[in-house]
Amino acid sequence: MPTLTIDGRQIDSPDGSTVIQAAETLGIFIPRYCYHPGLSIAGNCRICLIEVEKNPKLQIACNTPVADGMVVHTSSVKADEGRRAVLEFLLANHPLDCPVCDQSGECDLQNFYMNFGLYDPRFREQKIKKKKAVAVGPHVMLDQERCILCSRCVRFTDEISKTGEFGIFNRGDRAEVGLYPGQQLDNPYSGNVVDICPVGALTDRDFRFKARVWYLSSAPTVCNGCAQGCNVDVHYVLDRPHLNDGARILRVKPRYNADVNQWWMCDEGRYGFGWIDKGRLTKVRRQGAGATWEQAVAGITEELTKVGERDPERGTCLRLGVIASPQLTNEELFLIREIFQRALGARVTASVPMPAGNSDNFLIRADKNPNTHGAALIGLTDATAPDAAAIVAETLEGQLDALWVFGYDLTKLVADEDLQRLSRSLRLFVFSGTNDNPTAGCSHWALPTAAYLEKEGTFVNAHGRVQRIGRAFPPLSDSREDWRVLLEIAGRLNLGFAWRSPEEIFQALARSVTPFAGLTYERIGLHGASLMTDASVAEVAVT
Amino acid sequence: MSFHPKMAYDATFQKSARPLEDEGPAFVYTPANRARFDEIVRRYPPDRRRSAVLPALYLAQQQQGYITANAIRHVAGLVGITRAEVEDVVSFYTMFYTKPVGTFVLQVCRTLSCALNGAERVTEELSAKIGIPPGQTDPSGTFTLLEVECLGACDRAPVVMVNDAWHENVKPGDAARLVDDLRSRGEAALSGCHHVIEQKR
Repeated sequence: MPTLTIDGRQIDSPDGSTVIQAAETLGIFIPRYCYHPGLSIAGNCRICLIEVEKNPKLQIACNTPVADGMVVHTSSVKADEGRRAVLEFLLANHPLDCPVCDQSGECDLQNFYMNFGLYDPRFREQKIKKKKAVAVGPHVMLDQERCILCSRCVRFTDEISKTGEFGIFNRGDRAEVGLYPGQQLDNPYSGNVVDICPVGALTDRDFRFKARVWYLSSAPTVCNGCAQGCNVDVHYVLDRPHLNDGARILRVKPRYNADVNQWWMCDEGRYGFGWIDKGRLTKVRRQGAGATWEQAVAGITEELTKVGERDPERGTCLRLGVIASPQLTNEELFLIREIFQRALGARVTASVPMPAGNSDNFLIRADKNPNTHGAALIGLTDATAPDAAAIVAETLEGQLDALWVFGYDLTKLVADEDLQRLSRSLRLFVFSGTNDNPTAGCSHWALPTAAYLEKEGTFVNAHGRVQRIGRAFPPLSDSREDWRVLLEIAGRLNLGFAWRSPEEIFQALARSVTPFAGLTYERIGLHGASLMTDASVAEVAVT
Repeated sequence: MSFHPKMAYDATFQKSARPLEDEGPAFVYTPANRARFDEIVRRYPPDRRRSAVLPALYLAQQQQGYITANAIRHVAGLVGITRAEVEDVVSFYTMFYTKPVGTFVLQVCRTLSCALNGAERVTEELSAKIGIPPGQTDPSGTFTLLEVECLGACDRAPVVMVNDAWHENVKPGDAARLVDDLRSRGEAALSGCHHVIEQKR
C-alpha cells in the first residue's frame, strides 16, 4: 500500500486509488466538476489541479494514481493559480445568469469561484450563444449555455441508467451537451442527472422557479415508494407559505448509502411526494360530521371493550378485524399486533393486495410498500394470517362485527354497494389514514393520521435492512401519528403499556421479535442496520 | 411520462435542431464494405469494439459520400454503441460530412498556427475564386469549401487539405492557382506530403 504525503499529512492509500480519494479519506476536499465517485473518471474539467513535488506541471487529482513517497500540495499558490485559470476558461462562455438560475446557491461554479476565482474578469469577447430552457425529457430542463461540459450526465446515462441518451456534440467552444435528434431523456432514473450536474445546465422541471435553495430545510429519511428503501433527503419549506402553493415539500434528493442506493434514486420516488401535501384527511370525522380526537378515542374504545363479549341478540361473540398496512412503521405494526391480535384476539393482517408495479434489477422493486418485510417479521403477513380480501369477505358474511382499516382503500377489493352494505352492518368501522378515499367516506370514524415524513419510526427494506424514517415536520392540521393514536387506545383499554415514544416501542419490539434483537435507534443511525444474515432472510417468506 | 400533474410534457418538448433531421436514404454497407468492416473490427479487442467507430464511419462516408442519420443508425448497430455516441464522433471531427460534398473538398485549417500565418486570408481568396462562402458547395458540385480544426501540419502553416492531400505553406496568392489547377487537371493537381508518404508505402 503506497504511503504518500498530502498537505503535510501521511496516508496509506490502496494501490490503484487516486489522489482525490486519498485526500478525501484525510478530510481534505479537492474541488471537482467532472469527477464523481459513482462514475468513471473523465479528467476533463481540470479544476482538481494539485501540485505534486518533483513534477514540473500541475496534475489532476482525480486521475493521478497514488504512488509511494508522493508529496502532494492541494492548496499551494501554484495549484490555486491553476484552478483560477481553469475557472476563467470555464466561465468564458458561461452566461452568468445566476439571478435567474435554479442552481444558484448550490452551484459549484459559484462555490469554487468564491475560493479560486479571478474576481476582476478579463473576458471582453462575445460569448457563444446556445439553446436555453430545452425540455430534454419529462423531468429535466437543459440549458446549454450554462453547461461546462464535464460529461457527468453523459457518463450517467452510459454507465448507470445504461440508456445512452446524452452525448456531447460538436467541438471546441461550440461543443454542447444534447440528445440525439428525436430522442428524449425519459428513463426511470432521469432525475439523477440534475443532482450530479455541478452547474445549472440540468435543472429539475418539477422544482424549477419554485424556491431559492437557501430557503429550503432538509431532513434525512427513507423513500417509502417501494421495498428498496432508498435513503433520501427531503427538502421542505414551512415558513414561506407563498412558495409552492403552501405545499411543504419542494423536492426529494437521494442521500448516499453505499448499501442501499449509493448516490441514486428513481424518478417515481423522487417526484411521487405530492400526496403528502394534497388530498389529506385533516379533521376527525364521525359519520361524515366533524368530531374531536377525544370523542373518537372514547367512542372507539367503548366499542372495542365489547370485542370478545357475547352478543345477547345473536348469541355469538363480537369479533374485530384489522387491515393493517405495510406502509406503517414497525413500531405501529408491533402496537397493532399487541393491541388487536394479542389483547383483543382480532383477525389482523398486513397483507393487502397491490398490483405488482414495475421493477428492475437496480433500485426499483415491484413491491411498492416500504415495510412488507417488517410486517412479515412481526407476523402480520405470514401464511396463517388472513389477507385483506379474506377479512373483507368475512365481514360481508357477517362473521366480523368491527373493522379497522389502516390507509387501505377497500374499493380496490369490493364494489361500492358492498362497501356501503359493510358500513351499515358493522358495529364499528374505523378508517385511519393520511389521505381521503371512498373507504374513509363510508367509515364510522375517519381518523387523519400522519404521513411517514411526519413521524418517527423504522422500515425494513427488501434486503432485511432496518432504516429509520426521521420526522421532518409535524403532522398536518389535526392529523396524528398512528403510534400515538394506538398508544392512547391501549391506555384506555388498560393494557398497561409503558411506552411513550416510537423509540421505546422499538425497544419493546427488539425484545419481542428475534430478528430485531440488539438493535436500537442509535445503532440503526442514519444509514440503517442489517437485521440478519442472508440465509435467515431467505427463511422469511415475503410476498 | 410525467408524474407531475401540472407538467404538460409532450406539448412543450423541443426537439434538438442540429443537422440529421433528414434521415437520408436507406443505408446499409455494401457486401464488400461489410466484409471490410468485419475485418476492421477484428483488429480491436472485444471490449474495445467501440473504437472501431472511426473506420466504420469512414467506410460509410466512402460508400455514400456523406454521413446521414440512417448511416449513423447502421454504424451504431454494428459497432454496438448508441446513436448519440456515434453522432458525438461525427459532429466532433470535421472530416465527416453531414451533407453531400463536391468532387474536391477544400479544408482550410483555422487553428492557431495556420490562423497566425494568414489562413483566414486564404479562405477569403478561395471563397472569392470559387464564388461560395465557407461551408458550402458550388452549384456545379465541383468544390466544397470548409474551415476545419487542426490538420496536424502546423510546421507548414497555413495548410489546405484537398480531399486527402495536404497543400502546405499556401499563401493567399496561391489560392486562385490551386482552384484553376484542380479545375484543369483534376486529381493530378493534388500534391502535398500526404501523397508522398502514401506513395513511399
